[in-house]
Amino acid sequence: MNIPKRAWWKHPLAPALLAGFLVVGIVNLYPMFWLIVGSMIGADGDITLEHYRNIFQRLGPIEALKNSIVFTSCSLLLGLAMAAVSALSTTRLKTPLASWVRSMSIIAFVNPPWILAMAYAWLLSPQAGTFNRWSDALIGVKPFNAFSMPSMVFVAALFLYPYLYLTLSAALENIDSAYEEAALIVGASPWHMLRSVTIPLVTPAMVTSIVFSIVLLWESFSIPAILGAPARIYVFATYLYRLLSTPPPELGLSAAIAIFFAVTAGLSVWLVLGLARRHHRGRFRVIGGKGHRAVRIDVGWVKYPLAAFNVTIIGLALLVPYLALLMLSLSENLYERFSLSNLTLRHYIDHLGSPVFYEIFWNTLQVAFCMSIAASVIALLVAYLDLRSSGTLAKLLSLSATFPIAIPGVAFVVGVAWAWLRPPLVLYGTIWIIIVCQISRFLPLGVQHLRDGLSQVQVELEEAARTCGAGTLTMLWRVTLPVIRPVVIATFLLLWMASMRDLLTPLFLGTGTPATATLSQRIYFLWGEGLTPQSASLAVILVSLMAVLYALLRVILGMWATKASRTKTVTSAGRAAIGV
Amino acid sequence: MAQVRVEQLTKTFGGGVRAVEDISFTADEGQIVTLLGPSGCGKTTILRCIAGLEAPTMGRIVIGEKVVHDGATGRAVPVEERAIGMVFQSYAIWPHLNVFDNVAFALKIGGKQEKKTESLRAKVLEVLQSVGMEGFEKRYPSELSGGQQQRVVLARALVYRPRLLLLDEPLANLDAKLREAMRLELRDVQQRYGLTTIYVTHDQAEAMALSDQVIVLRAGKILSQGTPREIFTRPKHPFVAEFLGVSNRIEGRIAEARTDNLVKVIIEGMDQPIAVIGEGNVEDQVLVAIRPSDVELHRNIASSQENTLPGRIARVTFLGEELDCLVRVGDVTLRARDSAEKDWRSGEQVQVRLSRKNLMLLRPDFMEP
Repeated sequence: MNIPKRAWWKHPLAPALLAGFLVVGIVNLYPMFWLIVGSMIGADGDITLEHYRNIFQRLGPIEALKNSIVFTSCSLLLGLAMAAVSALSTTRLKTPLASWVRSMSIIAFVNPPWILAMAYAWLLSPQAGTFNRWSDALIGVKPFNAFSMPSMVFVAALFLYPYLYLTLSAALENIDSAYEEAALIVGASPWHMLRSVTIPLVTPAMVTSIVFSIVLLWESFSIPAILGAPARIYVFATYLYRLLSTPPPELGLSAAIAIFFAVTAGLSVWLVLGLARRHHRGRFRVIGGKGHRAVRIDVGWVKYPLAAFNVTIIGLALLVPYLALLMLSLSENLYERFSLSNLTLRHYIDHLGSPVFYEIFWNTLQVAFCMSIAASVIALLVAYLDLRSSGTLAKLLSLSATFPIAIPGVAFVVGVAWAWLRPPLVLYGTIWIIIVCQISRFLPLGVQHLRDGLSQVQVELEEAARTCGAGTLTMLWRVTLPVIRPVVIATFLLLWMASMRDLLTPLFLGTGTPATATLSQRIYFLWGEGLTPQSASLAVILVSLMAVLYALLRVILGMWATKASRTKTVTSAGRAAIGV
Repeated sequence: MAQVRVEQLTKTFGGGVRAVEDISFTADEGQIVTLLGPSGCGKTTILRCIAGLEAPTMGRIVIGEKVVHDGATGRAVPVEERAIGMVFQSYAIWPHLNVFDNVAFALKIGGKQEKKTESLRAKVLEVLQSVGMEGFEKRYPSELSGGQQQRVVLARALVYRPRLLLLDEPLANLDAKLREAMRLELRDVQQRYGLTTIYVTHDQAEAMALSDQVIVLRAGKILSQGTPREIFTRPKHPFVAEFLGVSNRIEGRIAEARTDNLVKVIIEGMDQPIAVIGEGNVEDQVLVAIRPSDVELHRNIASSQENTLPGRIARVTFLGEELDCLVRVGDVTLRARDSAEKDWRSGEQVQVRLSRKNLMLLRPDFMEP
């Protein structure tokens, strides 16, 4: 005798589940559906695989595939090597300036990639670039070329560095130092300890960040667009952009390439995960320590070159680009030697005096706020259902909300363009298409973040509310939400930042008129038209606005969160996230 | 306040794991019933089924006159309508609310409860006073010690006068000294409110000190049920005996069964039988058990006395007030606890007396294969 199970639609959370599926379905699945359909519709409206055949018959896509592979693997290896040196030296060796490197990396972490690319396009410019002029003056050669694969790799590695450094050093700090001390006690040399204990222990934790980096590089647009496209070096994302922006736009082929692009991304992720799994098949798990201080090895004079290396990387990833950008934005004449007479505020005054700037600024804010509020709410719903329900439906919802993380942004955006061009929902040509597309692109980030935060909230807190007589809704409103408030706020800020700096979505989905433009898109257009100082000054304005607004939001939302942050369970996660 | 009846409760988790099987018991009005057992024995699952946080696979649960879960019809009263008070092992004290708001939570929600601030305040203060937490209303949980948090969650569970109090290892997170103090307080408060209480623990001392009735569980089944005294002095199941600290177990064979509830048992390697209270048939294989503290060691008494066997001390461990001795008797090694003043030395010859009243005859049909 078994009691009849309660039908799932009678569950108190069923309406939420239904709403979740509806929203995620429209936002995430509908574009993917059209992307697949679009890739298979021929010129006459028949179903065909012609577009897929075309990928392999044309030279462009194959070239892009090769370039993408070279670009992704080289940038990853270079970024990983730089991050490994910095992380090991700041967490395991006695090197000066360790905490400075760390806090600078956090700032560099929110750096938009296009700012790096723009700065280095100027600094490494083949003839008149600052670095070339310096090297010419010193040794008589001009070795650098901004518009080449090596420079793309260099800039992408610098872009990746803060992320890899932060995850790697966090992993290193999470290891219980007893493991390492045990190795030293049995007589291993410090170097041997690093190689045979420390590095194997952080490897599993690093697999996720490596996979994420691969996806990030594979879909990377702004760096190849600014540094590669002028030299006709195309990767997938830039090739797709060229296909879509040169008339006549080949939509069918673009969709097919986007799918090919997504499949190859999935394939490489699967390959890396498979390799990692075969290598470590459940042999160990990184176990959180009890907060013992890690062993720090004294390396003598070697610490100075190491510290110099760390400072140089931070300088190249953060300080030099911003300085260059500032210089650009203040220059009267671009390639003239530095002098006071060459400085001007003209470009700033021009921007701030034009009504178009305010229209675009307003658009940017509108997109960022609408998107981050909507995505936070949806992510909260999805993460909550995923954690608190054991049903397959909730897992399915979570999967459909997070799958875009594995789809290269450009491929997804092509799908979005396909989907919202046609009835019943025509969003193309309005700002809403950017909002909707950003929701789906950044939803995985929000879900992940909230799931981490929510998983630290004991179920008993909620059960205690139920035993005190609270129904599901009262419980959610009076207990769950207040407890996770800091995490929700941090998620909101994270999404807001992501939206403010996003270039891909407005670039692909905007119509080019100010009505659908955002600041980042405008910056890119100005750059593309050769209006470098105008573009740089707008970039400086955007970054300053982001910094000011972010600080303001943090203070306002932080005040609201103080009472909730008395919680023991979530403060660490919440505060850390707000800190980032 | 109400009687609680659990009838043939079974809970199967996904994957066919039987957490609890065919559990029936009754907690009478005002009683404390303790579910005692090692971790994983299903005691918390039973408690959660009574609370309504877990849906039983089969069985019936009745609180007072009200059937809160009926496996036959599948009808179940939701948690929030069961009017129970529950204290969780992790306390589950809401970190975003201060002590007053934590306790007042239940009174503030729902339309049926009164919201008049004056009477609400009086009720909260009264219950805070009864757990000794007056003056702490404005504090936040992170500013309280473990024992104080414990009192607050107890107050939170009591404030709306539930019909039934469920306690899930409430003292497990406290240190030993505080645990003993809180044990007494818990009993006091329960008596004052006259609450029917179901108490889950793995600590036998807690169970003995608090309960009117103890139910010993293992692997989702009831092994033994009775008053603390019955369970402690006469455990019938070998597992229960071991769980309650009866660590000496001697295998033997019944040599003589008398009509006056007494059997004589021959221990392996001994020819002299010992007398044990209990029933059995001649030639039955049995287990005779005794607590280490009940094994008496003597230097000079006549070995002709009843149940007195010659032995040799094999090892002595000094424990402070007491000595822990391993004694060889025939082919058997017994553990004995004796006062440190006796100053036993290993190798010493002793007379071991196993008093008839302290020996337990464990039912052979319970014996493990």
